[in-house]
Amino acid sequence: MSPIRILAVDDSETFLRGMESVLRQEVDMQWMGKAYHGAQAVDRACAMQPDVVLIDLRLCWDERSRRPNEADGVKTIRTLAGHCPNIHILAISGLWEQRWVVQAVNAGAKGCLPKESTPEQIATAIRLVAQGGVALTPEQLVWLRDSVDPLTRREKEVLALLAEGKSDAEIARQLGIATRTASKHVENLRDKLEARSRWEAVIEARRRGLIS
Amino acid sequence: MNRYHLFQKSIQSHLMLIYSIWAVILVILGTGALVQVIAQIGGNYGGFIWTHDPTRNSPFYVSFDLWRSLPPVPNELRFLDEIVTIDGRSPWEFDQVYAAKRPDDLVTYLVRRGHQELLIREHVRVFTLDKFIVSYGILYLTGLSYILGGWVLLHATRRKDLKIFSFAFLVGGGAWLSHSGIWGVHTPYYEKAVFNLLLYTPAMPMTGAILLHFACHYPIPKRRMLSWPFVPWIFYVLAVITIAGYTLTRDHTFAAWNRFFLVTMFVYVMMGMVVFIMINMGIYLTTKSSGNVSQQRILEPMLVASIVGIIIFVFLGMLPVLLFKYPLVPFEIWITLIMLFPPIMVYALRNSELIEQIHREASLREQYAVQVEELRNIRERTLHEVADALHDQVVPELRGLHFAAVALRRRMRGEATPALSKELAFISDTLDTVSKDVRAIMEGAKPVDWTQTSLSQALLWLGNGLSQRNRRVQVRLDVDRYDNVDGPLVKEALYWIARAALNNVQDHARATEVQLTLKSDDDHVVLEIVDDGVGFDVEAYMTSPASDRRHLGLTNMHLRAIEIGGRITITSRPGAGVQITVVVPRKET
Repeated sequence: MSPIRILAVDDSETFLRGMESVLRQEVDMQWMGKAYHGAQAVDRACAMQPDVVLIDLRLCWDERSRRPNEADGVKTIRTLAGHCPNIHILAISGLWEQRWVVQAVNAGAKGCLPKESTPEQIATAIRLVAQGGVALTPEQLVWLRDSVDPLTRREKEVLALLAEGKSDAEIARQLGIATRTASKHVENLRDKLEARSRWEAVIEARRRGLIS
Repeated sequence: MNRYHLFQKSIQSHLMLIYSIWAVILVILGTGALVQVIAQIGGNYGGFIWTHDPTRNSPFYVSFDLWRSLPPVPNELRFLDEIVTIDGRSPWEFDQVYAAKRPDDLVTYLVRRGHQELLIREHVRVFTLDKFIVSYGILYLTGLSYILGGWVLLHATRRKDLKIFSFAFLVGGGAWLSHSGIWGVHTPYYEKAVFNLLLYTPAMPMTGAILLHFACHYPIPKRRMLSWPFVPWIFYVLAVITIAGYTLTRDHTFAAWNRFFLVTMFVYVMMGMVVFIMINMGIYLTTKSSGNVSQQRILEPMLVASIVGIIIFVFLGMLPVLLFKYPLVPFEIWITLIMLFPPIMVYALRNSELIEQIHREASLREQYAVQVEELRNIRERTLHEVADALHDQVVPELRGLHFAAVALRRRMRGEATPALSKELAFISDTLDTVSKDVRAIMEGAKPVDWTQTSLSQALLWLGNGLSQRNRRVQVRLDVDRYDNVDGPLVKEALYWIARAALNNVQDHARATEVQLTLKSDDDHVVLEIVDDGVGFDVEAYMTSPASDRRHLGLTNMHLRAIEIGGRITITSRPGAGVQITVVVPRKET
């Protein structure tokens, strides 16, 4: 079995060197090299064709960028995934916020690792994505699910009752809320599901799998 | 606020005071008229018997004196002749309305009604135009002064109850003018003087109705009683009907209707006054119980004026009417002035000092708020910069060194002495811990983008952060993931309260367990932080001088809660842990 070839991208030389020392000790991995900013990472990755690229999310796109930022990291991931679809991308960051997880995954990252991961955790994640898997924490999975499913808990309850054919007043009585509030929830549901009527909202919700 | 503005405000406040006295006087004057009108409706309403003597080259009419007991204005209508008796009975015993333009017509009319004997006494007083102007001028000036007072009050204050007061003035002015207008029609000059018809007849009731319209349509939220939109229209219609009817037919029924709607208008004005007094009384009692001395003192003169006015109205206005059918109108005015001036002068002086003080305090508060906001912005910016610097410069270096140390440890495995292995383990573990600590600090310092982050998410970070930093504390999180808390300000405030509370738990509480709960329903969001630590005496803490307090950030928590319209309760006893509960009402969706 050929070793997993790795390229690491970070603006910190110390971090890259530490990472290199650790990963060179893994027998099934091959350290291909490193890049310090986004554009350089794309060039090197396309030239070297590694299996896995480890990218720091807070990155500069090129030398002209003033300070590292998440948007440039996402841009790097997107460009890289567009140019070399065979490369598996693993993002790494000090502080993961929901929106950056969602954006990184949407851009093409197969995993989002916290920076304080241990060398073992990093190696495991690399192996996982190299085999075509994903490396996400349960919390990140919930974030991703939430970003797909925009409904609040109350809206889901309303939706379930709506699907049973209940009127606003009946929904309000059952949930113990005001009729006006129930109507507002139904209105929000229609907006979120881009439906013209309450029935269309139910059909749309079924289609998206929000209700069985 | 500079000295000029202060002076202006002070003048304004004094103007308001002067007008409040004036208001009482005018209300009493108005009450006199109201009493007259009521007396006419309920009492011996007989009406005029009009006539005209062609032998004299001046307009006159014969009348029995309907308003003999109702001074002062009606008595100014001097008549040339007066019917003394009809068939030996006083005209007062008749309750019909007779109207005629010439004596012949009147006699014909009375004969047709079956009367035999008509005793007529010659009057000596002649009603002339200048007397008319003087007597009616008083009425019009009263109406105009009402309106002027109303406008001044309306522009001098932002307080809603005072605005109602000023509407009462405006409406009252309209009513007065209307009142005067319809009386103007009664004058013997109505046929001669075209301007009477043009000015007094239609103009005044219409002015009244228009003013009323303005007053009713002026937006006074939650004071619907005084701003029913259909009220002025009723008065418009009534004004038009009575004016047209009276001008065309000279039928006194129209005049009676006019009086009826005048009474309604006066009642309306009185309602405004009563609402004003009740509101002020309410505010006064509230401020009294809350110990707000300055506001209390500003309200006092207004209340004194109102209450004295009512007393005078009842005892000097109503009682004489009830007992002797004679209101003591001019006397009341002088009594009012004499009784009101000394206390009002004293209050006015105190008021000016207080107003100065209040404005000084208000401007200081304003400056303070601006500075606090500025400091807050600086703090947020600094935190942001610190967090960025930690994230970009410190954490990667520390992680890199940690990885290098781990790699070195692995490489030396089997080769290094036990002592060297131990040292290497120490280095790599310390680097790991330090980088995690820095990350935790950074997490706390980093301002959160509340438009993108849910409160439950942020609370999970906080809880997890604490349990990572402090292994001795077990953090239990009962956080509604779909908390549905909207509004960045609410999220931010609750987040900082929770953060401050958890910091206290970490630094002071010596707790083994802390429970963080976030619950929300349609009406409220409830955040609760309960620990089992050493606790403290809340009351002693709050009453102790600021320099003696341990820095627990309780004031900040309170301020944060108040900022978002919430309520915070801190319960604790030494040895019994701390429970902090914040309840924030949810805005109507």
